[in-house]
Amino acid sequence: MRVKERKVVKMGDLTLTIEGTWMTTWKDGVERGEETRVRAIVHWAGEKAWSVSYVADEGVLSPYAGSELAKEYGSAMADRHARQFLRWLGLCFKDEASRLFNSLDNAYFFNPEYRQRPSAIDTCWRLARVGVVASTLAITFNQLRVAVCKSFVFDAQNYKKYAPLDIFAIVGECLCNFAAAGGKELDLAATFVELAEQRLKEVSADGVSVR
Amino acid sequence: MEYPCAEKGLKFGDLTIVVRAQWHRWPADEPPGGTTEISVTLMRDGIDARIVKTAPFRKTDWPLRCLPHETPRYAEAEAKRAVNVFWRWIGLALIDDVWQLLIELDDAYRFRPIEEIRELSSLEFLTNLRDVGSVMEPLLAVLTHLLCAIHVWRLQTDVEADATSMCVQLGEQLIAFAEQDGVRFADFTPKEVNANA
Repeated sequence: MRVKERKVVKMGDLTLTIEGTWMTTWKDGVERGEETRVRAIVHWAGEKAWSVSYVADEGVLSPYAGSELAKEYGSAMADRHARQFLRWLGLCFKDEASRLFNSLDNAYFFNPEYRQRPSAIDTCWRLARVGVVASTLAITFNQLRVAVCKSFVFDAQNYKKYAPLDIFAIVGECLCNFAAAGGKELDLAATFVELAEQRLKEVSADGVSVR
Repeated sequence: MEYPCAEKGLKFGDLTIVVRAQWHRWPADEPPGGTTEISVTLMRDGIDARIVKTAPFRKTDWPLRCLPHETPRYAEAEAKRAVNVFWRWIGLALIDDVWQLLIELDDAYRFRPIEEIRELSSLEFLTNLRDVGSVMEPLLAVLTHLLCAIHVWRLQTDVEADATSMCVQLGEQLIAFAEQDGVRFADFTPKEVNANA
């Protein structure tokens, strides 16, 4: 069985699709395990789409996966991992390396600090695994950052208006909000303007920066 | 221009592992910067196929700002250092000294943001984590094959030896091996069995 959940982020010429895929894995003709893969599909207008991906979760088949609830369970898993990726992307834009580190560590346990008796081989395996996630995030972050830089936000007039709010932090917040809300499609440009204008109003009302 | 590569290998039971490193200069980069690439080759006696894993080990920006004529010597030293450090990390993993391994990996790749001491941008953090992750791939391949080789050796020889203490012993030998400069190959198969064979 295979279930896909897609989240689409549009910014200028870029359409970024985050696709979570939950699937059961087979061995010797028997359904034995399950795997969730996250794929970031980068599509610039007029160019061929390409993608990067990583295995977000894998293991033995859960009791839900074998039952009639399999489809719902798979869909929830795929959705959860796609949203988690979007949240990490949001933290990248907010430049919160420590929170990103803690969040990745909560997911992949690669930092042996505060853990009981971590073994070296386990730590190495976890580091190798999270390295692929970090690589996928770094590539996607760079692409979306280029799209933001190429967009209307960086036109001289808009830049002058929005720069004091920290443009990338606002973008990050839009992505985190989208991840938390669990929508299907995000028009990043429109959401950015909405949030930035709201922030500008708050700043002009109390004269204090909200950041 | 190809710079000299460094190589150090070992044998344990029927497993032979060769670790090779080479510094490559980035094209048109002046003063020269480059990447040290590490590659491991795993071979089993009697099997033609081999496993090869390659990863960038260290990127060096501006290593020779004022001394471009020293590049070949630098490249050689950098490659030797990479091979020795890699074997040392394998040794630390085998003796299960996870803290020392973590400290050394973090020193090399700076992947842990530390408040007010090491402030990393999110992109720096991600690329550093990616780099340490990619080095873990060949390291993990060597480690798992060595662990298998230890178990295979115990089964084949019927020697009453505890696998954990064998790992610790081999790990300590590898840490010492990493510090030896002139040695390019060593057989770490336990001696008493060599004598019986």
